[in-house]
Amino acid sequence: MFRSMPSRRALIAAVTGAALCPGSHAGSAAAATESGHAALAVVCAHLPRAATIGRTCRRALPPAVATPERLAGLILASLPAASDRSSARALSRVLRARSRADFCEGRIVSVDGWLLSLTEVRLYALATLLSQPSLGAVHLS
Amino acid sequence: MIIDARSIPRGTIVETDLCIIGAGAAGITLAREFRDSPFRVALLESGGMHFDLETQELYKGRSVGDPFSDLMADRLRYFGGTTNHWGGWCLPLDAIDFEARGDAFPYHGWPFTKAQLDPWYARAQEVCQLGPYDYRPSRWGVSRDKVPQPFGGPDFEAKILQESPPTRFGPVYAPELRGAPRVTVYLHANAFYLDAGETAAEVKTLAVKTLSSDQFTVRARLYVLATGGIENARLLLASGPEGGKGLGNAHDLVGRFFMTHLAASGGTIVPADSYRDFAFATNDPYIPGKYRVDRILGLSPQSMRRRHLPNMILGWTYKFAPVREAVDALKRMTHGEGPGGSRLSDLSEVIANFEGVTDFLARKVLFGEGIPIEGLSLWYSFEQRPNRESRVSLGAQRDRLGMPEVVVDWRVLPEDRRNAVDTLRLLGMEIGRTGFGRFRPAWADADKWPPDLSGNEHHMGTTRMHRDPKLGVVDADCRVHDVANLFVAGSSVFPTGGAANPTLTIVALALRLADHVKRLLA
Repeated sequence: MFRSMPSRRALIAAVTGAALCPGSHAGSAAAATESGHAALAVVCAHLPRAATIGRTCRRALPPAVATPERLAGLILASLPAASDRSSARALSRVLRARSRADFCEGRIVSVDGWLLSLTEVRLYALATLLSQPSLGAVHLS
Repeated sequence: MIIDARSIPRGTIVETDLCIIGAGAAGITLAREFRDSPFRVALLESGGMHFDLETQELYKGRSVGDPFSDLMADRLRYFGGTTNHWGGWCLPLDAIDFEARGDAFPYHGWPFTKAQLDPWYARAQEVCQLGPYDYRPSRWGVSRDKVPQPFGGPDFEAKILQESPPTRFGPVYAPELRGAPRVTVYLHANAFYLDAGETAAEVKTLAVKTLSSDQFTVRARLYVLATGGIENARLLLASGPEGGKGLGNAHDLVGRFFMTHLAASGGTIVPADSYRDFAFATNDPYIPGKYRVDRILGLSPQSMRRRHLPNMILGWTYKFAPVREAVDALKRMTHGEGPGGSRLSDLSEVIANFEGVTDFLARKVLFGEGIPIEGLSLWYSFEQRPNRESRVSLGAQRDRLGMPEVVVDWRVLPEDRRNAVDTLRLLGMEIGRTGFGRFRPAWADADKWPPDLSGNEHHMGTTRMHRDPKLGVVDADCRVHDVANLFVAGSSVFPTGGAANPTLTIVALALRLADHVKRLLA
């Protein structure tokens, strides 16, 4: 995992913001909800190489939490209550801030040796779960 | 004058004022300070002017502790000593390295401060053919705003090192010593035994042997041991009253507290922005054959204090995107720049990477960007805590001269491992926190030994300096406690090693010792 540079680049680009800021068409397409579940699904859908990276992230998490509902709940619950989750773009900003805060607070996970924030690991794990056809249509709302 | 000791008749007694044992960085620095003095100086060197295996094999020894590098390859036993293959990196220890650091670091603390050593550090710069004694990054054009955020504080900071040409002390200073009227260099002269009589209060004579079985004696007013971090302990342990535990070893300290720096590859940073300028280059124009200034990174003193961490430095090499090869080929084709292959192979390279090259050219023209960087490969050098159980001792085997073999039992404390892993983790946190990228540390589990980590050539601590004879072999003047006329030079006197490469400090301490010895001889 992450052995090829494109994967690394994709990971870094994703977690540092590029992929967490989907294009405006994607952002406007997101149906805003109070909880942010819909926006979160859009963010996940736009994570580059989510399937590959996410599989490893998922393995790094305890099996008990590696379900879409649980992960989405944990991610959203970790964000400040008043944070803007009205769109994928807004949520991306909040997630990026949360991710940096994770590094400050030592909430980091070693994934294949890489030191990643807990939030980004959960996010990628969620992305890979949402993209699995075997799970059918997973709804987060 | 430089003479071959093998020409000295057996049984000769050489009378001198000062006998310096070992002609490496410390010994040669000391001898040079007496080049115009009225005192007679004998500088003894085990080898000749060039490498020879027969002499080098006198360094053979055994390692019985944690993985240790090759005792035969680390050091060089001929005139100029290990500076004959020295890399030339110079930087002073940090002020914090001299400080007592409380309960977390029970053996830390030098008997003087860095500020007190500064005058000799300044003089050491010239000996090592370096620039001004100024290691502030701002002095060399590295302002705070140029340093990428994770390395601009509060935990990590930019540092400066100066690279000596490097000075090969043997060839560089041999002409000067050859012309010094009262300095005599004895080549092929192996110090064998320091005879301090029954009381061991003062060295009476030094027995010297050559590989051609000759033996003579040196009788001096003062003696300085300058044979390196391992051999200094070896000679002391092999000397003193018969049946005893060595000279200057009343408190069983000689050979103990053996340290090196923990140096190995640190991991990989993948930057978030591969076009960012990471260089924060210095403004020192590099002139081949002259010193050069380079930048490294290190823990800040505040971070060391707050987090109770030992010192460390780290550096990096770039891993460029594959398109670099193609761009280099294009430059050769268009400007004839740099070394390289044939026109045909260059053309193939450019065609094969056409998309990458056009992207590079567009970015260069539009944004002034260079070759994208895929990663930064880090190396680190950590301070090792003084550890009484890490030691150099004597084995049962003897070398060709009859000197007991050296046994190195280098031991790294669990705290050292944990500190190294914690510091790399802290680096990863800072890199993530600042959005600089992500980090994969090469050492993440303190219970596992990194494959490329072994005790290195920075041998320190075996005759450590301390005011209290129960805690140090030598006093603040580098005199062996309780032996009136015996001094030690070199990194064996370092009570702690910080993270800086030791040569500049070795030279500074040798200059300081020279001043002290001059006062004693006067």
